[in-house]
Amino acid sequence: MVNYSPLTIHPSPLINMFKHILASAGDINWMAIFALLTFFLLFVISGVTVFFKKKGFIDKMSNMPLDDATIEHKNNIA
Amino acid sequence: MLEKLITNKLTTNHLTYMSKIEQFSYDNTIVRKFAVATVIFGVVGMLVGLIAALQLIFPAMNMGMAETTFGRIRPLHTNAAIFAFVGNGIFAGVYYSLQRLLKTRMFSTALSNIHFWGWQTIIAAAAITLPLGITSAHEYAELEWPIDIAIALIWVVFGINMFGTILKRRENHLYVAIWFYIATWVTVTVLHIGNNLELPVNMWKSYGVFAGVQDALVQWWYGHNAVAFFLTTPYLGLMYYFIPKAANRPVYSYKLSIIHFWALIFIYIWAGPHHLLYTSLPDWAQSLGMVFSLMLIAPSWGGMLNGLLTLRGAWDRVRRDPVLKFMVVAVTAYGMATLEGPMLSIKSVNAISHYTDWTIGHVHIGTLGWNGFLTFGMLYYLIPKMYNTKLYSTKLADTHFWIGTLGILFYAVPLYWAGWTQSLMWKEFLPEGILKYGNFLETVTQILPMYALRALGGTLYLGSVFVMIYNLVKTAKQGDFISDEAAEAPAREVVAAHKGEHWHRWIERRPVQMLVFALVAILIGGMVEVFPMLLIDDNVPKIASVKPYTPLELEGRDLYIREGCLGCHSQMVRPFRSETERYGEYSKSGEFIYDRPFLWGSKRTGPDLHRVGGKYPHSWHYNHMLDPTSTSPGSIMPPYPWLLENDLNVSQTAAKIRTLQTLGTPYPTRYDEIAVEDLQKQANKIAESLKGEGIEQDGLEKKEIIAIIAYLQRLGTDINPGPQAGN
Repeated sequence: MVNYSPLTIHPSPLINMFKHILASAGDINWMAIFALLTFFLLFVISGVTVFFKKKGFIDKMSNMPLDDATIEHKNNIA
Repeated sequence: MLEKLITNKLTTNHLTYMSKIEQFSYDNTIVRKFAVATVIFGVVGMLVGLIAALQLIFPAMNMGMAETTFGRIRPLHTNAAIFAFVGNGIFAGVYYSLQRLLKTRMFSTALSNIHFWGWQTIIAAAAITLPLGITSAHEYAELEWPIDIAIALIWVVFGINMFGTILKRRENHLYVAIWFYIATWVTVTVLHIGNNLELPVNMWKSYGVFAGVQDALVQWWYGHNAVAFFLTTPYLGLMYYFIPKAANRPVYSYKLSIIHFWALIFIYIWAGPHHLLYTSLPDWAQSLGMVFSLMLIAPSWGGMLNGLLTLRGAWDRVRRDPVLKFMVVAVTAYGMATLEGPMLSIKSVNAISHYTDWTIGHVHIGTLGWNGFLTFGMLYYLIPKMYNTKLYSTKLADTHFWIGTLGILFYAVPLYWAGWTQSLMWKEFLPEGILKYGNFLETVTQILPMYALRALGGTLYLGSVFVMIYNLVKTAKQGDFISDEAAEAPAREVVAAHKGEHWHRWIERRPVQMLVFALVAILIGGMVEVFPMLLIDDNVPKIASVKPYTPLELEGRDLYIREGCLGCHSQMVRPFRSETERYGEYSKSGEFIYDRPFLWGSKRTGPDLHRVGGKYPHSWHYNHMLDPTSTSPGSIMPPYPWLLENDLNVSQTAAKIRTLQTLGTPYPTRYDEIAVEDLQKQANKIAESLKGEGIEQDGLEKKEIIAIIAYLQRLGTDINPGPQAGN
């Protein structure tokens, strides 16, 4: 039967490639901090900008589905 | 109409009154094609689901055929429901609303048709390959690599057509529904590629790049986000279009819809690990998944309330208008499912719910309630509109509504009951400290009445769909189809960005920037969760005694995959006393490093199998596969006589070994040349052993059953734990 070499795990070339890229980038804990900051910024910025949007613009956007520009005399619904 | 349009333009950007009014038409033919497809595949998907549900009560309903057995038709049902029924529903709604929101015809009729026929061909390929057992065993991503490539190509065709339409639009700003469509497109692209990185062995078999716990995390990053970005975000886009349209009033809060969008797509992508709580996934990843799942309540309910409050002041119409009726229940079901989902993601709740029918009940509130009812509401709106007529019968639509709603309740409530009952039975101990229900089968037979009620619920729901089909066909017959709906709108003025303009307004006009921002939002979660699992060795501790599968075990494993055994059996003993008492030592991540794909499963209709190796003699497995009730009276597992009749196909064994070597499995150099020889030696030993146990069959050593036995007897035996503390 098979004789396996003990504990020689050979990761796939793709994973090796990722490992190499990230190893050269150093400590990857920055990713978690980056995610937290982005998350925080995303909510604050979208909240603030939404709050200050002009009423006219919001009204136009929210009415968009109601105006589909069809020509009613040609598409008369019975 | 024209006057209104010009007035609108004047009051908003003060620029377009000089614009030339252009006449054009909307393509309704492609919408009708997708609408018909969603109805047909809805019936097919639900019918297969109903047959699967009935097989849990009457296993003989597979008619003795491998192709119609539960393990193979369960993925057929899920794929048909998700990608054929809901998928075609998405495309019908997107093709209708996109044109009208952008005031332009679709970019290319040819691309629309390639998209339609390509998607239906993929569905046909799935309907053929899944019953044949051709599967990659990744839930909701079962299709093998050639079909995966076809999906990618057709998805790109859809993308080109959508972005082409956006680019030639007459409307400067993109309504929020279109943001949801863009986010759907870009995220599904990323998920589909990420979860289907695999190396082909041959035309119909491949092994994934990732193994074990890493494969599990990538799969559920995909799996959960298939729910998020295929079953949810496109439907939210449809909700934001069709509810205002049907209610003839604008969305309750456009501001809320913006927050809803960004919050939802950012948070959703993190939630995948809640499918792997208490498994061998590292604790940090489980906690991350749980926390983000809980946070999901906020944007989900924001969206639900926005949808429901759009009907403020119009609730009297909900009583009369079937379209609104269906949509209200759909949005309510969305709200219920998105409250329940985060609750199920709390670790202590998940300890009870996971592997039970509670999860099945939960997902069906989503598919039957949210996706199904929103699709039906949309169809009741679209068909009369496109046929320039009124709905044939409001009464029939009401009948559909009430039978369908009852169907959902009869489906979900018994499964919640079954889930709780079974889970509590799994965990109940006698005062002596032993399991009260030591025989797993007792916990299955207890809930069979619930399974019968579930099948009744499914029958009601499916029956109600036929009422809808009759109503819609009669509607179509009484009207005249408008294939090209005439429209007119001013040409688009491209307005340059001006000082002081909000960044979001800037994005709204620029679809490519919107795509990039959405991509960044969804990639962050994926990167932070998945990369450390792939890159940091400590996350997957190695166990010296864990070795690759022998060629015979490997072939047995691939048969286990072919038969869809993971649809009913998990391979993950959680670290609970009730599980270690029942099954043995809890599962360690280091035990799965050669598992391509991982086979942890997500439902226990039968017991966990991770420690089944060596638990029973070979002859028990032989008899069990021939007739499960001979070893387990009352079992609802179907017989697998074909495993005893079919010769094991070893023509691909060497190629499989070579592929696994390429992926990093440490078989000795040139082992592929002697792999079949090794396989035969092990098969002969098992056949001899069976003979010794009284099993006589000609050519037994060449049969598939031998490979399955070899695999099952190997499961969980690589580690040899000492006695448990307290035992």
